[in-house]
Amino acid sequence: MSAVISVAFQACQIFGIFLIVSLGLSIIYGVLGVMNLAHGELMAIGAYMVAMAVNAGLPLVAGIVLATVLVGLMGLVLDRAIMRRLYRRPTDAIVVTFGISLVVTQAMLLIFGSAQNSLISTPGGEVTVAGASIPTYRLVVTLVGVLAAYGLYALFQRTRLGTNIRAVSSDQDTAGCFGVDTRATFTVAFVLGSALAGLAGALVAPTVSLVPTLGQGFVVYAFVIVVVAGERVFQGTVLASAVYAVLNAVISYQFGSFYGLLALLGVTLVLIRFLPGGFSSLLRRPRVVAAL
Amino acid sequence: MRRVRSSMSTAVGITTALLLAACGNGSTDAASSSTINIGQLEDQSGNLSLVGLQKYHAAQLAVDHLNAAGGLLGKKINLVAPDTQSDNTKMQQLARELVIKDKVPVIFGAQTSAEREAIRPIIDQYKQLYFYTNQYEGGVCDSNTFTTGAVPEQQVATLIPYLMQHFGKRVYVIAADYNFGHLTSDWVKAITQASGGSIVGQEFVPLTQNEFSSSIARIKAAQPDILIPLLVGNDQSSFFPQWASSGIKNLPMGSTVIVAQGYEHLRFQPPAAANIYVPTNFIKELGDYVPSSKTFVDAFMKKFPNDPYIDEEAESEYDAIMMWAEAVKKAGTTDQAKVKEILAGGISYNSPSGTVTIDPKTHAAVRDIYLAHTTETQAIEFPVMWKAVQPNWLSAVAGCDLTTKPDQTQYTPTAQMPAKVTQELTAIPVVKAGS
Repeated sequence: MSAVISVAFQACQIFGIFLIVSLGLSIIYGVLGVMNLAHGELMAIGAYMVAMAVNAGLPLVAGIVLATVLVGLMGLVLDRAIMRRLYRRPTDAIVVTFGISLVVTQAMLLIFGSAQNSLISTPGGEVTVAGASIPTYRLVVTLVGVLAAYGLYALFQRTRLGTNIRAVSSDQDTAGCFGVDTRATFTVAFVLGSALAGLAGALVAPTVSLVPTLGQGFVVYAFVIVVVAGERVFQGTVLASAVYAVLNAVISYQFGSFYGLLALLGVTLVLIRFLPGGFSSLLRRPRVVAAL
Repeated sequence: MRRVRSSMSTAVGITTALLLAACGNGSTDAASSSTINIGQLEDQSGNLSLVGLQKYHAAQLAVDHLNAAGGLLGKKINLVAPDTQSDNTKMQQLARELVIKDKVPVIFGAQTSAEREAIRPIIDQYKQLYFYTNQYEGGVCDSNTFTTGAVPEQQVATLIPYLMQHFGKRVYVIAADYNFGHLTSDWVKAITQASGGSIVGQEFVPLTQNEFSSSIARIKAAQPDILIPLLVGNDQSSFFPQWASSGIKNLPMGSTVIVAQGYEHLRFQPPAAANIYVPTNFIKELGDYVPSSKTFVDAFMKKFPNDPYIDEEAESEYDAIMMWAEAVKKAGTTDQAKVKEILAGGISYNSPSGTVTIDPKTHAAVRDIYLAHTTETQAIEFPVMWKAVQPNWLSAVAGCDLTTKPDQTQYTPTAQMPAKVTQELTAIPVVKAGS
């Protein structure tokens, strides 16, 4: 019994952080059609900012909020400076984001050195149920992930902005014909995606060694999730994250974390072959509300 | 026909010119100029730079000390140390450059066993004198290679019996997933079983992994008495803060690399790196106990005041360079064959951490080993030490004898072999100098 609860706890932990990272990447991919290869670096920047904020005396929560906002602003700067020239060129944009990731990693290396020596510790104790325990902080991260997802859902379904995002990600040209400002929507999507990456990085900061490449492990999972999520940015990503979190937790517990990753990649290959539309094709057809 | 021939001759002409230009540039004839170049291959950037930079600085310190004492054979020593960037391919490329272009009389370096094995074929191809200066999983029996880092006979055969005597018989191993992790794990398994214990679980983790929640869940489920983390690199060190917040207190950990290599006790808040036992040839804190270590530490911190630590590998690097210099003085030349002969004859050197002697049969170092232990507050204490621990599994059991039989192999332990390593290992208490 305690093994089942332990695996359930693992799945929760993984789901929480996967969700935030994947949603950020998914929004950018869905709207701009760009696989943002700098997503891991944005996470790393978020983590470093939280570490600096906490070492300067701010409480952890304030640090996380600050990091999220700042990375979002960084996304805005990147969009204005670079990405706006690439709206109609998604393949070129992928190469450019790769370049951005290289520049950011090396810049962080030059500024901060190869590893931070003073890290912030994980607050809180642990919760124990029937012999299996999970650090309280990890549960909080999962909660934040779920709340962020709910917030995004509300944004997507209930606001004009969200409708525009869904319309542009579904069919860019037709949305433009209906009067949606596609360029502004692109910017908003990129900023939102960046802010989510910053939030993810800020949340993991107390648990990992601060190196410029800390985001890369998470981003591998996020890529895979986005690929199998399909065209429905929100529902597809949430469903894919949940399935993958459970799968990873079960296999990793049984055989080790290496096989957990292997299982995810294997399942992805199978899914791409037999379910090309991804998890989205398992859901009902979306209704796009015309933005009149 | 004429057009083809003229473009062919142009091509030949250009190629020859380029070759001449390349040969003319940058090659330093080490024998005739007024400096001696020595080569070093260490990771000054990337995932492994945490340790690589310490070794690089130790080499610079050694060169400074040698030059301050008048250099070698009347010439100044110059350190040629390109950055291998934690990349095995770069390692190979730069090794070739040092051997072929710079023609250095000696190469020091490589951190991970993967790096060492990547360049050892190049070393052997050119019969280059090479010092491997890192602790590792043991077994290298190579006519051209000398090792000053600690080996399992010195780290695992001392650690496991000590821990099992004090804490229990159930051992769990979590190791980096490459040759070092696997082979050291084999050693831990063999010595554990030979000491009457059992391995209750084992996991190999990719070097880029920084999320350990499932690994930690598996460790808890196995309920070990002792945990042996053999984790390498910046990413894998994330294990410790995650372990600290996982709810288990006071499970003793033992390792051959944690604390003594990546100074986790200074990088993480307690209790992430508390209660860890590491048998090591040297760490910075040894300066409080051994006067020769203190001299070394003071000199290092004077030259590099901003460096966070001096680990076991940095001291091994320093020892290697100083020993090579001794051999060169004895040989009267930097000629590699002659220096190798002197080294293989069993040269001794008074290192910062005690006497280091090269064992002629294995080219490995006989050295004193200190058991370091991190307290609850992650301060360092040294409960016991072992004097002059021999790397004798390689010679006695694996059959390596470089005095009679040239070799270029790495021998690996099977379940039986390390159990036959029975040298008397007496732990003696460590007394603070001046007390």
